[in-house]
Amino acid sequence: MKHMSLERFRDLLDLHGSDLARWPSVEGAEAAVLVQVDPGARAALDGACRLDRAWTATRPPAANPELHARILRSLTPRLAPSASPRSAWTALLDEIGGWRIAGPALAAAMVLGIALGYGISDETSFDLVDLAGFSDIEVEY
Amino acid sequence: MSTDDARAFADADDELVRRMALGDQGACAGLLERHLDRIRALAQRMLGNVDDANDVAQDTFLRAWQLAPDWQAGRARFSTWLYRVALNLCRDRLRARRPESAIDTVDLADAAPSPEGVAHHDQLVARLDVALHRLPLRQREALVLFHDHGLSQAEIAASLDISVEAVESLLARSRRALRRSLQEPLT
Repeated sequence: MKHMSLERFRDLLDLHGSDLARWPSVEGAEAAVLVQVDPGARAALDGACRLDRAWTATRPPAANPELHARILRSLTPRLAPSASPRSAWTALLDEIGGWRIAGPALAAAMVLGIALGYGISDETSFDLVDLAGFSDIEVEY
Repeated sequence: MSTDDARAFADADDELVRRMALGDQGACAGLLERHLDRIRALAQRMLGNVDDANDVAQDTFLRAWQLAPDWQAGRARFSTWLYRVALNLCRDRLRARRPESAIDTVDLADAAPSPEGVAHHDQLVARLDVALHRLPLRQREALVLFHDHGLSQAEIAASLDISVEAVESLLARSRRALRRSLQEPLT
């Protein structure tokens, strides 16, 4: 095992903290040896441990149970609508392209509906076709 | 936590997220149970304010709910993603604060040692809190994730979206800065 210098030990102490178990295994083992034999290393480790203990003492307390309930309450209305199983229509819509196809599908449905309406009645509703923005489409009956 | 334990924990998170996306309230409660304390503690460390920390925690889980339908299991750890979201929300709040309060985000009056007979340890704790909030933001984030959350340097790198080398640098500089700050005489 290599001998670790005090300077290197201090650098690694800044890098990895005072818990030698969290150091990379080789450096941790070298450091453990050093603190046994070098008072300077021991003092540096003690100082880092004090800092870590103070850190632990300032750790924020656990969340209040009320916060847990508050967050759950805020999400519940959002969860409720999707709580029921997805409908077959929703699944089919997803399969064939989701909401991206909604526009073209609506337009196609309008054209089909108008065409059928024209076929049933004798009156042609070209105005409706114009309104839908499809005035340039020629429809043969 | 061993690698296997961490994997099992992440897999369980993925399953809860999948169920939450289907509207399962129990899964949502389960995710809160597993992560709320850590997220709220992270936010409180970063913001130094309980109410702001609670709001950030709530917003973080709201984002989680919004993301749930698009979550791709196995691509990233849900816990790492939560840290990222919470830290981003904290940064937004810190930026929105007045410049002078952004430097020192804790209430100094509360953090200052009490007048007489205060034990050395109590003074150290109070000064540490102040010193922590004087650190640059990234240094504070790295230190909090390392100490409070036990994240490895690689996990911190993933949470902050930076390299492991950058994390090492942040941790070393932040510890030196804290030590220097604590060695200064009390004013």
